[in-house]
Amino acid sequence: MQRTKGRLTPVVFTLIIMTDIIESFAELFFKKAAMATNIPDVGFSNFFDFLSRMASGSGFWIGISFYVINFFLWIAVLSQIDLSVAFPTGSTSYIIVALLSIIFLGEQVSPAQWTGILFIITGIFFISRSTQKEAE
Amino acid sequence: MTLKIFMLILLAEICSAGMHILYKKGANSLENEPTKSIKDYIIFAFKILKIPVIWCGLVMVCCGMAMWLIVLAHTDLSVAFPLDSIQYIIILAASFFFLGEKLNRERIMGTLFVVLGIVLVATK
Repeated sequence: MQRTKGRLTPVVFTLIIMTDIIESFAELFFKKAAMATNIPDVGFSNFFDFLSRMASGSGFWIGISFYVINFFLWIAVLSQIDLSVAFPTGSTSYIIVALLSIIFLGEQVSPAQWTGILFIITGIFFISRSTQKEAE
Repeated sequence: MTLKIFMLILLAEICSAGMHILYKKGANSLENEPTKSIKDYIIFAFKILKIPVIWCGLVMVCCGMAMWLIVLAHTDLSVAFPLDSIQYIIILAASFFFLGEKLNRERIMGTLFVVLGIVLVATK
């Protein structure tokens, strides 16, 4: 990767979005795996039973392998920019999830949620500008 | 949502914040690696795995994930989701105090916008 001098370059930004997409899918697989265990009341007492039932399904392992990929991608991102930049920029996942639920699930996004998306975009714009100032 | 679940979520959030800080500390020690071939990427991955702080972060994320699994089995994601915005404040403060990152007005304002946006998106 090119030295970015801490800037939120298009390459770094794309990497962050990639980790967001991969994480969304991983969580989907985990949720499915957790429900498939048929253990309604998970606590500390039956936790290992719960875990072993999760591990017997494929969804759990797909989720884990997504997490492994994400781990390396995220460290690569962090080697280039500040955590206080990388982390809030990762909130694009909220926009991705909203868009995916409109396109694939036909869900409605409320005006309040659109406002929220606008706020997130504005926030990332400011954060990205804060890195340009720093690099100058 | 019971108090027990709320505390579990808060604890999981703290674990996750700790993980990010340890990862960042580890990532800071990486040199700018050449990434031209697949071999370079594999070498880069092994360099990451040789950093002790990164492993501390991994232990933290395992604890956090175990807590999340219990939370997910109990609560709907839509309830747990807005609480995620706390994380952004924790990370902002932690990157200032533990990582010595310079925070200017734009970065703080941007983060607050993001937090507000998440609360709006996540609340139905």
